[in-house]
Order: sequence, then structure tokens, then C-alpha cells
Amino acid sequence: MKILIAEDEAILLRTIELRLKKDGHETIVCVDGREALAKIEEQDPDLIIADIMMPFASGLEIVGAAKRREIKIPVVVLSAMEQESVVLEAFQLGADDYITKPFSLEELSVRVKRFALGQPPRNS
Amino acid sequence: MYLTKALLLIVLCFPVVLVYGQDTTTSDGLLLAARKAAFDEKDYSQARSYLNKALTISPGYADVRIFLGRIYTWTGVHDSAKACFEYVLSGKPDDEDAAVAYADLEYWESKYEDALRICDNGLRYHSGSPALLLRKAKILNSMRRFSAADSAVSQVLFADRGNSEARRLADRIRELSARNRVGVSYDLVCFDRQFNDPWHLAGIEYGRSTGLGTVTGRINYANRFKDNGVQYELEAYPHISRTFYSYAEAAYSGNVGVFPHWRAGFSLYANLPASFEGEAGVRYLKFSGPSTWIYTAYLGKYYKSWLFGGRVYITPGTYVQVTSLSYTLSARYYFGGADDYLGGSVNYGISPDDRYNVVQLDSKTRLTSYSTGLTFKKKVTRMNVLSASASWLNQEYLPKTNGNQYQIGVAWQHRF
Repeated sequence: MKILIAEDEAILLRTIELRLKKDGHETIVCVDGREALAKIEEQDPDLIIADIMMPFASGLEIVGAAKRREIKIPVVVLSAMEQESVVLEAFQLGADDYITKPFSLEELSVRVKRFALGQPPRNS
Repeated sequence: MYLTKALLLIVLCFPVVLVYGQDTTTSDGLLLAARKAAFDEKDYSQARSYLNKALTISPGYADVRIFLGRIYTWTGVHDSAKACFEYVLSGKPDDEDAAVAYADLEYWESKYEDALRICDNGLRYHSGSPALLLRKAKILNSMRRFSAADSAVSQVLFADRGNSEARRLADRIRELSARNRVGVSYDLVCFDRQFNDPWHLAGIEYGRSTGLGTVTGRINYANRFKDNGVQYELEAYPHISRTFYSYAEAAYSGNVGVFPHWRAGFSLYANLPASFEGEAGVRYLKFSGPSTWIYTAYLGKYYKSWLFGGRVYITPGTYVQVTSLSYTLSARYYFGGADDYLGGSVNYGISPDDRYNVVQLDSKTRLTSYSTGLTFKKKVTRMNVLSASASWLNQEYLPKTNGNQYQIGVAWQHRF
């Protein structure tokens, strides 16, 4: 799968990227929301993993952009523990799954695998 | 009854024999009483009175006259002090204590040429005297004759590596003696699990000693995650007084992720009694998200050839993270001058002053990490210093996911 990862914490971004590459996926990394919005149009990813709180454009805007497309792109939202209300908003906009930080790479890997197999996600 | 009367008579006939348990009938007893009055009670007038009385008993007692000279020095009666020391040295030119005390007097009066002459006279009789050599180094340092000052303090350290006063003086002379310095450094950081590609960090710096303190400009380069980045850094150690000095630093990078966007710090240092040193300060970090303020405190102690230290960093809690702490315990063994040491540290958590790992603080979550490191520094020629470092860090970079990180580095500094 071609996965776009949008995360402003550089270390976490690169950690996720490495794991997904090891799982055999192609990755596109973005350090802020604006870059992510641009790359969604340019690269047409199969899955988006986006942090909720990012500079220039939030994860909610990314969910909105992914769901406005003709072929909707599934979105997994990354959120901090205290951002439950924002997660609900993300689901109202059409987010497909969410993971609360800090999370394990195994959990992320399993959730991504479900999308690759076309299975519906089971929220944590 | 007769016995009681006899005892009463003895006590009444010798009312001044015992004053607060001191024997004030002999010059030795009076010297002891004077020391007690001066050091314990800060009663210099009483001390002077005891010493003058002792000199009426033993006019040639050098220790008494030197101590009287010291009392005159501390109370600002410099002519009388000078007379005392010259009296002793005219009769006994090889008296080391008199030379030390006289040199101190002239040094504190900023009469450096006279102070130096007195030290040199004393050293003619006691060539290896640490007390005289240390004074000589201080005097030469004040005269800005740094090379000679360095030579004098090096002799003290050669004979006594554990002399912490000499070590601190050597540090000051080193800072002042070479007004300019350039340096280069390179570090390699490898990971076993967290990342595939190693990090490369390199830096060039230029530092200059000014009247206010040392100022250093640095350009740092890093390659992390195959991305290149450059950071511009300015650092200064302004002097405030003999006891206090400060640290101020600011760094900027346009390559967030490879470096913090902004990094800044300020600390106040104090040279404390009993060879302790303390620091309290604050650090500022700004990545792409909200900025972080981190508070730090440090306590160090010089003991013989060692410097031991403990440091804590406190990151106050915010609405997205709890208060976090990191600790460092360090020890440094000096085997030569101020630039010759082997240091080690054990750490819990990541420090904002850790140049390799500061980017790992760009996270809303703080997970556990432990690290340990070694640093070796050696002055290879008078103006060239080489250092090498190695460290290991074990970090829980995601919950229940730990990885190891290994760092090795080399640096070279040239002073001129």
C-alpha cells in the first residue's frame, strides 16, 4: 500500500515510516498539514495516517480533504490522550480509525494490515 | 576549710591565667587565644591585643608577628601589616609563611610587581612551595602574563593533582590565556532498531575571550533520516563577580526535525565554599509545535583529582503532558591540567543539553530512557586539545518498544 504519514514530531514520523517500510508498504512523509494536503493531491495514497494537532493544517482538515475526493481515502487519526472530543469530530468528518499516543508499533502495524486486507477497523 | 581558702586565693591571684579556657600567660597560649578570637569570634581587636602581648613575651616569635600582620591586613592597616612581614623576613628571609602572607597583602592591594618579587624571593628558598607557586600564578594571571601563570599553576598540579584551587585557577588561566580558539567536531550515532540510517553530526566553532567573558559562535551540521540540516549557535559565559558567572545560549535552525527550530538557555553559576559549585538555569526548546521550558539545577564538588556532579532537569506539565524529570550523575578524573581528564556519566531521561538527542524531546510523550557515556580529553600540545567520546542509550521510544543507540565522537580545538 502507498501510505501517507503526516506527523509533526520528527522522531515519531520516522519511527512509523521505518516500521511501515519494513512491513512492505510504500511511504510518503509530511511534517505538517499543509504539506500533507498537497501530497494527497499529488501522490494519491491508499491510506493516510495523520496526527490531529499539526502546524498549518490540522488532522481534521486532512480527513475532510480525503473524504471530499471522488475515491475516498481511508484515514487513521493519531491523537493524544486528552483529545477525545477532537477524535469524535474526526469521526463525524469520516475518519476510519484512530490510535491514541503513545501507541505500540505492533498495534499500528495490525491496524494498517486490516486496511490492506480490506477489513473494517475495530476501534481501540 | 583551709584548703578551700587556699584554692580561692590561687584563683583570685591569677585572674588572667585562663580566659575562656585559654592559657594567656605564654606566647603560645596567646597565639592560640588570638586565633580563637579572630576565627571563632571575628574579634580582631582582641586578637591583636593577644598578639601584641605575646610579642612582649617573645619578640622574635615569627608566627605571632606573621599572624599579627595577617590581622592588620584583614583590618585594612596595611602599613603595619607590611612592617610585620618585613620584620620577619629581614631576620629570616626563608620564612615561607611570611612570604605567603606578604605576597597576599601586596596582591590584594593590586601591587603585582611587588607581590611577584616577594613570591620569587620565597621560591628561591622553597622552590616547590605550592602556596607560593599558587600565589605566583594568581599574580601573573592578574598581570595577564598567562604563559608564566600557566607554568606556575602546572607545577602545583604536577605535585598535587588534587589541589582544587589550583585546578580552578588553571581553568581560568586557560580561558584567558588564549583569546581565540577554533574547533571542529564529528559524531556518529547508530541505532539497532529505531532507525535504519545513522545520524551524522559535525560542527565548527570560533570562540573568543573578551573582557566580559567567553563568546563562541558555532555552526552545526547534521544528517538525520537522510535529511541535511544546519544550526547556527551563539554561546557566552559572561562573568558577573568572583563568585558568580553566567551562561547564555541561543541557536536557530530552519531544518526542524534535524534540529530544534529554536534552542536557548540561561544559567547562573556560583563558585561556592569548600570547592562546591552550583548552577540554576532554564532551557527553551521550540520545534514545530508549542514551545517547552525546562528548568535545571546542578551541584558539583571538586575532591582531590575528581569533580563529582549531579544535575536535574524539570519539564513542567502542560495540558498535554505530565511533569517530567531527568537526572545526570557525573564524575571526572583529572590526570594532568584542566584539559586532561577522563569523565563518565549515567543519565535517566534525555537532557536538552544533549546535542545528539535533543531532537528526541520533540514529542508530546515522555518515555523511559537510560544512558551512560565516557569522555576523554587531552591537551596534546600547549595550544591543541583533542577529545573523544562514546555513549550508549537505551530508550523506550514507543510503549514497550525499546531500542539502543550508540554514539562515538571526536573533537579537536586549537587556541591562539
